[in-house]
Amino acid sequence: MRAEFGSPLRPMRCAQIRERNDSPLTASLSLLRMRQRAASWVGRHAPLAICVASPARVVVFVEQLSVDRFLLKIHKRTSRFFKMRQIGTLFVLAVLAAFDFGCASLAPAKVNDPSFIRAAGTKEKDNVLVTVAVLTATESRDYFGRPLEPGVSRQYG
Amino acid sequence: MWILPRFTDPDYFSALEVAYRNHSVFSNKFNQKVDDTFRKYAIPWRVAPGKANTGFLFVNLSEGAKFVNVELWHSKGVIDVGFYLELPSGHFDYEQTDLISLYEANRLNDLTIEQLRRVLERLPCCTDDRAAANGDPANVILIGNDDDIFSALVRQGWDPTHALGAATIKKTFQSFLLGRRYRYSPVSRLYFFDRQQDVAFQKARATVHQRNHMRLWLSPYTYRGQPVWVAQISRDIGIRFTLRSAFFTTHKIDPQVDEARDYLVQDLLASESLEWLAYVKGVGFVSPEAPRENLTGDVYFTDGLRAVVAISRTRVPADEVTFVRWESLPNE
Repeated sequence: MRAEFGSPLRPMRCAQIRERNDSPLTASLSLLRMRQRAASWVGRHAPLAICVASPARVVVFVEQLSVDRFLLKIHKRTSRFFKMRQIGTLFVLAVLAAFDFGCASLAPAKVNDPSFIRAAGTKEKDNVLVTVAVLTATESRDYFGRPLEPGVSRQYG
Repeated sequence: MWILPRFTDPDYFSALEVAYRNHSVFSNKFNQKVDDTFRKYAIPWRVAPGKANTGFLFVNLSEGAKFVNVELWHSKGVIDVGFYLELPSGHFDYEQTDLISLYEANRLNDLTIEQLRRVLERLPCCTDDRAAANGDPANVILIGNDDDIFSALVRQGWDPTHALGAATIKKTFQSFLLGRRYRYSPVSRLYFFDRQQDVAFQKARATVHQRNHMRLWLSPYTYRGQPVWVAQISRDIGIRFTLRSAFFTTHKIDPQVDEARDYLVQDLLASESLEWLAYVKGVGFVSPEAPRENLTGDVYFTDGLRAVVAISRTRVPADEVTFVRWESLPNE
């Protein structure tokens, strides 16, 4: 089914956001009202799309509504919402940083005889000796201390 | 002398590219360490006279088996060396078949060229499901050691297949539903010589629904000491509904099964591993107007010939391949 861009929803929503230059939360509130209207409109006219042509995107859009409602409740209860949000953001960043530093280790194995060397092949041609070994995903993870192909070794290793 | 990594893998990764994939978001110092480490690991391309270079070349991941082509360029020409290396992980069907003890050495029957032709013509036409129903035609004969055959296939982009198991069935099912690529997707069991295939290979396209796949059985015959393999090859071209499968769906094969057979011949020509080629009767002519059905109800038609391909251990350019005229192809 074709998206109906001629419906009143899209121009109204976009215009209202442009008109309000005050705090982001106010804009967010008007956006919320718009989205609530949009949601009820979607309920009546699904699977028509709003601003986007894909019904799948509409599902994501509607799910975001519940988050906005949650944020709105917090705001009504305390005027320190922004401060809390900034503190929360900093906290999340700190956790991420700690996580990143914790994981960011590169510890190549200190092994003189890695297992893949035993399966190496050697050939000689024109007085040149060539030895080749191929590492599996698990072997490269063990040797380099990092999974060079994430997912593969976990799936089958 | 120079090492030419592009000839090993046209899409190889540079050392700093691999390092970048392991960078931290927050620490430049750590990132510098990663860069230094991977640069140190990478093999230097220039090899000084009388010296040995050691290091890593970062290429795309293959599971099960890999053919590594090493090309070295020097003032007097190019040195190329090929390696076929198996990468056992416990999940591939070739790891679960003991080819060495399949036949006792004294039970193997070494054939002359005329005996070989007669034996191949008298082999059963088709694979079965143990209930004597005719499955897909056994339309290829390969002569050569397993390493040479597998190497020739892997060099042309064929991959070994995972054995059927819970994890591989799950992955196949996911790929089936989502239309993803699964290079090592297991193949169903078909029977010849009263046993399921010893090993299978496939050349996958972008989705699991489209692939060339080949099942191989080691026969009790040898020709000039080289093992003779019976194979069944067909091309999956999509999926279709069927009541003959537990999942109500099956792969649809290209009804013109000779196309897949001759595709394999081309691949072996391209890999410069085809020593000689012949066609022999044995499958039986099936016209497009009155096609046969395989075990899952897919129709197929064929000129009735098997391709017989002898694999060389050394490289054979296409213009030096011998064509043995046992049977002529229909258009000749």
